[in-house]
Amino acid sequence: VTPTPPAQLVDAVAAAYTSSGGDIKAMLRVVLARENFRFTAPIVAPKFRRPFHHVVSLFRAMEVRFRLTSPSTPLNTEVLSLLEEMGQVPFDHVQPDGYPDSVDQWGTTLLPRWRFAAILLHNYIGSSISGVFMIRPSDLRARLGFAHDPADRAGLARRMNERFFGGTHSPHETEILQGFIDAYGSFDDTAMFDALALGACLPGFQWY
Amino acid sequence: MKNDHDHAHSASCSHAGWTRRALLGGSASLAAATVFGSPALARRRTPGKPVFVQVFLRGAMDGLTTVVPYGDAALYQLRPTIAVQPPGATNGALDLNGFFGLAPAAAPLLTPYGNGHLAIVHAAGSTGQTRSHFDAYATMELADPTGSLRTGWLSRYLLQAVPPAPVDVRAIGVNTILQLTLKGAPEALAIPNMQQFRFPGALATSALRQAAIVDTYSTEPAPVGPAALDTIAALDLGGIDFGAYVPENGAVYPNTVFGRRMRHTAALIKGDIGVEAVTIDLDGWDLHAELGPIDGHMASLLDELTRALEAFYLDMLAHLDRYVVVCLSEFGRRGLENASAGTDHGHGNAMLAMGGRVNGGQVIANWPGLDAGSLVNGDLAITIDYRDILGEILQDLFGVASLATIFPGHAHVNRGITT
Repeated sequence: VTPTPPAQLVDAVAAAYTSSGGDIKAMLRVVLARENFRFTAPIVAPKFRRPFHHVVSLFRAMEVRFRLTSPSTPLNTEVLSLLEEMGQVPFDHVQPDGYPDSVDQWGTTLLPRWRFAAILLHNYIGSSISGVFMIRPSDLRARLGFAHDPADRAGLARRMNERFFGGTHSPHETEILQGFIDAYGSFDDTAMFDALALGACLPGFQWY
Repeated sequence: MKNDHDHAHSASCSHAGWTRRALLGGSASLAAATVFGSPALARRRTPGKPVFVQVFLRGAMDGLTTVVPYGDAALYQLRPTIAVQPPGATNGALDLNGFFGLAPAAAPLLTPYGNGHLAIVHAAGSTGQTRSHFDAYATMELADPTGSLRTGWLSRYLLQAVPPAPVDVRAIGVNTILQLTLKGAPEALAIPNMQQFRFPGALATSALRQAAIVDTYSTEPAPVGPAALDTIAALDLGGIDFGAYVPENGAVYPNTVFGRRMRHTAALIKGDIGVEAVTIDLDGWDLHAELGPIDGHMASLLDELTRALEAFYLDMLAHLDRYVVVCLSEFGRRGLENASAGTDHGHGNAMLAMGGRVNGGQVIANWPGLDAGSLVNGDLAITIDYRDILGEILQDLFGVASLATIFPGHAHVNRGITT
């Protein structure tokens, strides 16, 4: 309904919890009741991606597929280790309040998420993280309209923003990323992934 | 093939003589002041001031198990199955002063305690009445009874204690999220692993990518923008090689995340790069069931905590004046054990302070008693406000003249925690 629900709605959900013996459906009925939707606050400001969201966003952008080590290990252990560095392993929050969900908490720990982007995208040859496979370089080039022709570099940052980063980069960020691309002597597949890694670190991609 | 690419990048990127500082300086004027305070320019800590190290025991550590008031017979009526027995009994407490004793699992504390460098404060804590962990964190770490301030108490100290020269990072929350204690602190960063505080990715383009980050983040609002610039400025933490760090005096830290964080903190303090405060958490003390004071959960946590503290003490034995460690928890546990052989949320608790200027080798307490008439709502009463301990340390070791802005609304009382 809203990140900061009014006390009367909280009280109503608490009453449902008490009267139903903790039945989640009963509580959701209160939350989703028509009369309570008047509390709905449209999100007018972007939110800062939590580490898990950041990881999933990058995986989706890079068309990641997983090869699990075993059916009994439903999550990639190396990805879990990286999520641990970032502070958000799924279902592992010790305290009962859940992971925090505001920029005040996550916005001061940036290096681990930059590191994740670099690990995923730098040195990309098939799979930079064990069991994690991304878009093939040839498909990547096709998607970006880039065929190693120097003329293809023009507008490459803009296309990366449109086709991989969901348009989250500001015009200035796109300009900076393009400057980075243009500074390369020769721009090959490794350089392309290096530029994508930088794009994933820029501020626009941290918000949604 | 990959190596060929890397060589190509090196060749293409190195001809201009790029250096991290030159690129950063040339790329973002807004960030220039911060960026130019790179590790090479880091200033040393304020002479004479130790580094403040807070160890927050999250989940409400049970002080009646850690520091057992075995001289109070009511303890054994309240906790017939889980209380640590008096000294001399099987798995009995390790005597401290004829009234208090340490849980056997906390035996490593005897090393600094016996040398007079560890003090225990009992029946201490935050006088707030909440039994919610999260409200208690806020109460204790913000120390703002008015609710009007948006900073942690340690942040307010840092804001008023201007260092003699600019530094890259003044405070580190050794955590994935900056603790409330450091909320709003200047040049404060959450660094979960100091050994990994290096800029990632291709070395050949590292400077360019850092410059791009400084440029684009310099207009981001707080906390993101300043945190990004502070991160870039503080990269490598003065070049301290945390991975190769060898503790002194054969000190062996537990092979745990907490042990690693304490070891890195020792290396950081010796590295002397201007960091004034470090906050570290040890989680997991919320033991409502199966407390296990001798060989269970509590014993395991105490073992990890106290072996790390002992290792830190031995490692820093030649540097006793360069740190003060304070261990505290949001509240204690109820006096009565529950039906699950655990304890529930309570009130009064034990605190620890360690360092060369700590008036150690003693338990500082105005013991309120555990009999029914002395308990407050079933809890150990608080007779020493935790702010008295922190305030005295700030006054005596950090030269704070007035605590009014750090602990507003609190009437300070000296408790003799410092020498």
